[in-house]
Amino acid sequence: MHTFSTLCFALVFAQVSAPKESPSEAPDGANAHWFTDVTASALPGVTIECGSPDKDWILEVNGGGVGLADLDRDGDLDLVVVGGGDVAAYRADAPAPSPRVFLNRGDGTFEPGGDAWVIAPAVTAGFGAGLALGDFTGDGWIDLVTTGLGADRVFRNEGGRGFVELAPLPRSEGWTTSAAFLDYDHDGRLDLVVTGYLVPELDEARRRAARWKGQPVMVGPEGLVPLHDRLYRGRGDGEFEDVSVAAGFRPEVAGYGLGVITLDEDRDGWVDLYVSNDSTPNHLWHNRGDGTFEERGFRLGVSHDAAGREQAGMGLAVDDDAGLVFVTNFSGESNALYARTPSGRAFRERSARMGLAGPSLAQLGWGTGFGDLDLDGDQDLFVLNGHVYPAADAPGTDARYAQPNQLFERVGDEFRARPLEAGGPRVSRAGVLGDLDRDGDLDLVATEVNGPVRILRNDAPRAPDAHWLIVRPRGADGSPAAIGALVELRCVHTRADGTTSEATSRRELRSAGGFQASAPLEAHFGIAAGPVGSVLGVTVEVRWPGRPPTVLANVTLDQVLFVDVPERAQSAAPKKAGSGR
Amino acid sequence: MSALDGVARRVGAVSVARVLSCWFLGCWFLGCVLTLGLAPVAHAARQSEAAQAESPRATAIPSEARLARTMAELPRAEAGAWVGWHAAPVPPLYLAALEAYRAEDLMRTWNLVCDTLERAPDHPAALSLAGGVAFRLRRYGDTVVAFERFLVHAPEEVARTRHLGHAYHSLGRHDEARVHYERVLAAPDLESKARQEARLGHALACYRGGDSDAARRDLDGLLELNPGDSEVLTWRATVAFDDEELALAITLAERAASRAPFDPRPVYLLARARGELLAILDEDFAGLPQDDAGRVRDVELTAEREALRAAVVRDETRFAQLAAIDVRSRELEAELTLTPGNHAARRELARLNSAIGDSHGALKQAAYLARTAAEDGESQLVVLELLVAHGRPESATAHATLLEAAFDEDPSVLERLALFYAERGDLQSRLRVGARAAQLRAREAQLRARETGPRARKPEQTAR
Repeated sequence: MHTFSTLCFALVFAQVSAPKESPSEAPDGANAHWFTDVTASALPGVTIECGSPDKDWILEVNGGGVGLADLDRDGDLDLVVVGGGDVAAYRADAPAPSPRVFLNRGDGTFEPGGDAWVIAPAVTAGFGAGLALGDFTGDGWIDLVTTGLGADRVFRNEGGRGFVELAPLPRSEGWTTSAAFLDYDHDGRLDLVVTGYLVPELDEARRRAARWKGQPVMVGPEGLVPLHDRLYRGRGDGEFEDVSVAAGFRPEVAGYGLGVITLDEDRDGWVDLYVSNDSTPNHLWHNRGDGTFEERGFRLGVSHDAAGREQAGMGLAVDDDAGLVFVTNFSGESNALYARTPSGRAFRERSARMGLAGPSLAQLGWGTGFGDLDLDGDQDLFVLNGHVYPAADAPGTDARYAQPNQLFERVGDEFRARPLEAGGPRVSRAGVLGDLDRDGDLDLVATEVNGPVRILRNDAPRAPDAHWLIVRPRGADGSPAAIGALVELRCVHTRADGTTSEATSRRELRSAGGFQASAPLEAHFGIAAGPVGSVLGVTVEVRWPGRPPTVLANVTLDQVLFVDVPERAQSAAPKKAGSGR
Repeated sequence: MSALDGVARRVGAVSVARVLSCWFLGCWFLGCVLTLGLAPVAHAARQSEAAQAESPRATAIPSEARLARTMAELPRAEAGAWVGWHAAPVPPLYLAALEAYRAEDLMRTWNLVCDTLERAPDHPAALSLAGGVAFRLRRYGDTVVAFERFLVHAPEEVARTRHLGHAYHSLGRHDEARVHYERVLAAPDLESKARQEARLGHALACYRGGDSDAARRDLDGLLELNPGDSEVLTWRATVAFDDEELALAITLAERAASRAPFDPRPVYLLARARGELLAILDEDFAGLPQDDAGRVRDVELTAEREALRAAVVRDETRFAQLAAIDVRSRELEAELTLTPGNHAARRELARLNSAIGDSHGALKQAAYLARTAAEDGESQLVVLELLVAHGRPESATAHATLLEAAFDEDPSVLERLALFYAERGDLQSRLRVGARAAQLRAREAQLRARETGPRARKPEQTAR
């Protein structure tokens, strides 16, 4: 073995300390924080408690979930908080904390939903984890599914007057984490995928029985039994049938599923699925269009890092415009940014080339998302961080338990670090973007483990004369038709020399928020233009899966544009296996 | 290291004359230490390769409370305090630290070198040793502090600080890593192998910092010097694959895999690159004319496609096998860095290496077990097993003879030895060893019977 071959493993697998982030060259004002914590006025006193501070068990480290949707159809985004638990209570057969609903007052501040929205505790002991928000009954009201240890609960929205619990999802024991709605078979009814993490253990003999850098830490996920993810076919009435095996949604070996996102990877009109697995390869499930799925993660290059190593895999985000898939990972691993190759056949891991590798090595990332935060026409990126081991604060670990959340501004072909918020490091987990105060930019809801649910108002420096547009589907069966729809915005500008140019941006509609989060089912665009007069025209085209497209010309900017979902065409004929890319 | 032993003995033997010749010996000794004392650092770097490749997640390593000290806590010396340090007396604690390092007791080394620096703040040789040990312990923050301080007091020694670049890199400080490697590469006294290592480090820092062009230049330059280096080949293949130069990536990865057949990385690249070529061929196939049976008429292309498909399947299978073992191997190697006496971990690592056909790796661990676990019958039996499995019959026979003598009171070991001799067709040895084992088992049974006999009779007496 050659002497200098000592380098390669070390240099690929970094252990961490707080890195010195190279300050990016930035225009004036770039050091201003992009988000302001307004929790004290917007959502005071709401926390997620998840086990003891010592984190003796893996059950205590993932935290809860958060979702945004217009539950009462008053035009603004309401909030659902899920999750947490206590090991002692769980051992005493106590149920997990109930999901909590907070209604938006219309200005980005929230109030508890009132008696009608109070959700009763579960009948079984458990821990809460994630959620999915979507209209699975097709009555136009957003319903709810929650995940966790104990039971995956199903709630029907009673016309904006509260949730009524239905029968739980059929499943065996274990700990589920994230969930996502989609209509995988184009039958007009919402289906559901739920990621399975593991079967937790609470054997006292194994309390903090593992070692990390010489420190005693919780056991897992390695050494614990992984849980298969599940695909449920919706019947349209709140009942779901487990079709995992029949649909081929079953790898040979279960992964430790943490995050899930929907994406039409090959743009064939059939929504695919990407699942992030902890310490095992990530899965990209290609929807064949005939009711079955095929796992293609390895061949597409989105299962491992650039060196072929498995990573932790927590949060997920997709930039449909740029063809990027982003995955947050453990400390000592850089977050992964998979970029589609020019040929379109596969992806390459580009975190290093695009400036995201170095800054992420010290951090342990969770909730994440792309969004045009400064309305300059491209998608920026937030990452919520926090370690899993309190022992990270011990000397010599090169890590910290509480970590800074991160923001990266997209500048050309790279990302540059920007200050997300004032204040010190935190132990963050799930998060989701949404325009909470209806001012056209994307605000952030960030959760913590054993900490508050925070509302972060977007105060990013905007591009000069920036504009925005939110496209929101509307219709009785909006959700099934909308998920996977591609919204394309075409903006014609005049240049200074009098010529015209056209800029096109694309967003795929999805409510999956990656890690234990549910996002608003809408497409947000930022448009960097000169004076409004220089924008000659804006056209919005929505290509619905299995439905005729909608084209709207001469769209006015700076509004929420409701687009009616067209009637379903004749049922889409199943594709032959292997068609599409 | 033997030279260092000789130096230590000579230093210890000097009595009255020591006072007079101290400065001479000090110069000479520190000169040796500078070379040999830092040799442990280079040795550490080689040994740490596997340790650095660990999974970042938890592994089963016993804790060591005294690792709690960090470099940042240790006192600093004033600027210029160590001018002419080569002539200064060698701290006895430092010698003890070197001794511990030679014995591969990294935790004790760390504590002794910290003790040294408590009493002799910023002693350059101690700082250098501290940096090397910290790197092997994956304490990259401490590595940085140690070497940065070292360079304050011994800036002329920059040639020996390439591990500072490694540490920067491991912390995600790629720009600083790059700058430091350039500084090391500019040192006039940089020896050849260190130069290659620094240049590879520079290449990787550039690659991870987003400058693929610079990385490519470095890697191509290294391959000109050493076309068969598997590490460089693997990284160059990675860059080629990133640039979608599939054919080049395959060529380089094949060369890397042939030289490092148990490294999953080149196999990963081969599987990915060939998979993408196959996808291209599949697209081409879709448009080709077919016969009445639906088969493509181009026989040659069909054969090429089928061969490529078979290669992809083979690569993916091999990658899955190597990757699974690689993960566990790295965990074990990390564990053994802190607890080299963990015989169970070393046995498992040896067997993992053996399972994938890595004879070199398996026998390396076997040699370590033979040397350090002489009293552990299970470990010695594993050594025997590996010697047999990897074509060392004479060594196996010699080892079996040693085991028979060393464990002549252990029936379980003797029984396994009997099986060994049976498989070898050595009836005489099998009978001899088997008889001895049977004798010991009989003796055990008698002892057990004696212990339980009187108690067994009591119920009968009671019943009567």
